[in-house]
Amino acid sequence: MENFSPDSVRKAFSLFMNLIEKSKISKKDEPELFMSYEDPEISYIMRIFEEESGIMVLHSSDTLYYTPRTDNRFFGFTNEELRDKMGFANNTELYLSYIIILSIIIKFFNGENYNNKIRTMLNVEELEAYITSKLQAVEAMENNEEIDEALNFNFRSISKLWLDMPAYDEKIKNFSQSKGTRISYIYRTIKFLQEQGLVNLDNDSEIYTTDKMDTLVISYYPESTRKREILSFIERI
Amino acid sequence: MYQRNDFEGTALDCLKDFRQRMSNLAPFIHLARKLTGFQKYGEVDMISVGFSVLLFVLENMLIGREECSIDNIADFLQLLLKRSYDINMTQEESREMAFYIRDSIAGSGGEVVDFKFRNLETNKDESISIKLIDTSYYEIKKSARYKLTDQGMELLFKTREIYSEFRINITQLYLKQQIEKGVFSGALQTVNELNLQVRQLREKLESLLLNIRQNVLGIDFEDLKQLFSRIKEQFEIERREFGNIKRILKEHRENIEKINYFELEEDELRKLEQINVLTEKLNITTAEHDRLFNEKLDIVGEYLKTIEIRLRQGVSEFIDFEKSIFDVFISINLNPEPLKSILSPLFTNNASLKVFNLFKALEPQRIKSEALEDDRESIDIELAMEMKEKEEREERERRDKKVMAYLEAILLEAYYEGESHLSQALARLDENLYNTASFDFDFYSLVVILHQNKLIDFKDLEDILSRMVRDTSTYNINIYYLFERIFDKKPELRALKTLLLISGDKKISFENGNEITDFIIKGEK
Repeated sequence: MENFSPDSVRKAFSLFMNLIEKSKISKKDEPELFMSYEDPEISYIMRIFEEESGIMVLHSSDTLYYTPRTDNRFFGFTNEELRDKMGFANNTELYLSYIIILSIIIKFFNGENYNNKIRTMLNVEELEAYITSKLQAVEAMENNEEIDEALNFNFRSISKLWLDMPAYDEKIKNFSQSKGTRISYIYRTIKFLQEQGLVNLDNDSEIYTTDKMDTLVISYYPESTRKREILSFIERI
Repeated sequence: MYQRNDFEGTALDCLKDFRQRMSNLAPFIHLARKLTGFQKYGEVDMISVGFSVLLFVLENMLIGREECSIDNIADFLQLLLKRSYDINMTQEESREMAFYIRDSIAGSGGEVVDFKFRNLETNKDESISIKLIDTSYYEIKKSARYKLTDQGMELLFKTREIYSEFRINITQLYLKQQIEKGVFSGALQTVNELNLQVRQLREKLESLLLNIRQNVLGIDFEDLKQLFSRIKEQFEIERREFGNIKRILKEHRENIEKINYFELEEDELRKLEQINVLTEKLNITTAEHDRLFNEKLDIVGEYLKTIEIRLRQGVSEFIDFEKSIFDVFISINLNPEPLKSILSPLFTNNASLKVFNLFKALEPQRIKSEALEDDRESIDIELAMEMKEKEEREERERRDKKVMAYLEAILLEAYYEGESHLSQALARLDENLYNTASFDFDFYSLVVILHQNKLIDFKDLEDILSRMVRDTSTYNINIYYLFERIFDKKPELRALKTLLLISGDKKISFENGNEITDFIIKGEK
């Protein structure tokens, strides 16, 4: 595959740009564009684009999505951008949000032996209770001040922030605009995930993951080399 | 207060035929209640074992074998408990269990048990007789033989897995019977049920496809292939049956339309309208069923496609987000920074890609928001509905105009001649309309309606019209509405006080061979 036809390059670039612009290409809405990915030459060119731009195309049976590879600063967010986006004052608050996202993934996709979707809906209350029980375990552990000092941040600072807050305050009308309760942090995070097209919220408290989220989690993370890469982030510390 | 009563009335509608439904439920409750008391083998699930005895009795009945005795049941139990629980029962013990199960299910082998319940529809305590097995043969001092009663067979039938798959087919058979017997109002209700079942089938297939996409590695391909061929076969049967039902409906319609106009009763006209509605609803249901057949049925294809995608994405391993990630952070109190690297592939930052072009300031402003998109979409739907309504209105208007021309001719005869004949009124029509009338069912219907109305008194017209809501269905001919329109067009006809069409001896013969009584038209000014 050395000499590509200009038409294939044009189609591959059109597919790439459409994907970047719309975040997804569905078979239903854009059948021609979607099917062009099946063409071996276009698919080959797309793989070059993917490598060079640091993204990865994910394929569900009727939709194409893309994901920026880890630490892609162009297509991904920096911590600062994410703090601005979600309205957090510092990284401890932002990390709390990461914990919430990780917990949503656990609740939806931690199957017995493989990462299938094990539920269709998650209640905000159940999510709050799960995170609280997990972070209470951090508090219950013996204090390890050495790690605290060496790293500035640690998990204990996040669990303290979470556990010091009340779970819920009925006076608050708009949780995604507030920060005083655990539920507020969950709603802020969900709002961001909604904007990213990853989850939907129904009846004010029922979280549903979208096809995009399902495809990303089920297709991206379990692949063996990526799994090793992800786990190595933790081992490196 | 009225509203509350109205609500209660509607809510309580669901209790209709409560007794019938309870009589279906009662055998199950009876079985569960009675079988739970056997203490000797605590680890044995007596409901399953007792139920298996019913299946065993049925099996003996089906294969033409001699119906089973208590010793046969005891042998079966001995085998079953050894196989499932590794319990070795003596002959005596297995007989004891067999008798216990028999007595639980049916007293001493055949007595009727009363199942008491509160009938919430009538608000009375009632009872339902239950008899699941019966003795088919006995000789004193010899072993009796047992068989299932109809009720027992029905219970087993309802537990078959295949039952739900055949639901559409069973409803179709029921619908066919209703149509054949001419119970069209009941058939309408059945079509609604059928529609619901087809929608449920769609949900079932969609969830199956979703399950394949989300959980492709957990699915057994052989099971899936079997399921696929079963569903496909069932679909074909249902399709054929829909075709049959449509054919029968068509025949019914044609039969009614063949009836000579003067023999047409009001009842037949009503049936014709019901058939019309029924056909329309059935068409919608069939179309949805066909759509499912064409679009959703490639289950095996979906499976293979998903497997292929998964293979293309590389070797999958299970990543335990909780134990390998969350718990590790917690247990050694790590710096949470790597969480960002772990989660970042989920998010895409499109905002950073935008670059401002100064020349943008010179372009006309175009504001596009999601809300506008939604509006546009809803407008499109509204537009489509409007178009459909418009088409229907136009169709109705065309028909009204045609029937008005027939009616006007009759009224003119009544007005100018006082007493005349239908043939004279027909002579007032132009050639095209005359030819149309000769085979137009609407013309015959109109004449029958006028005849059945006997003496039409126009002084009541205003009163009737003020109480009447204009029927918008395309089928009905609303003569009062048409009278009013004709009177508006030809005000002199308002001088007519009454109109009457009575049978006469003569007939009108059209060129196409159709005949109609040459009714006498009488008008009084």
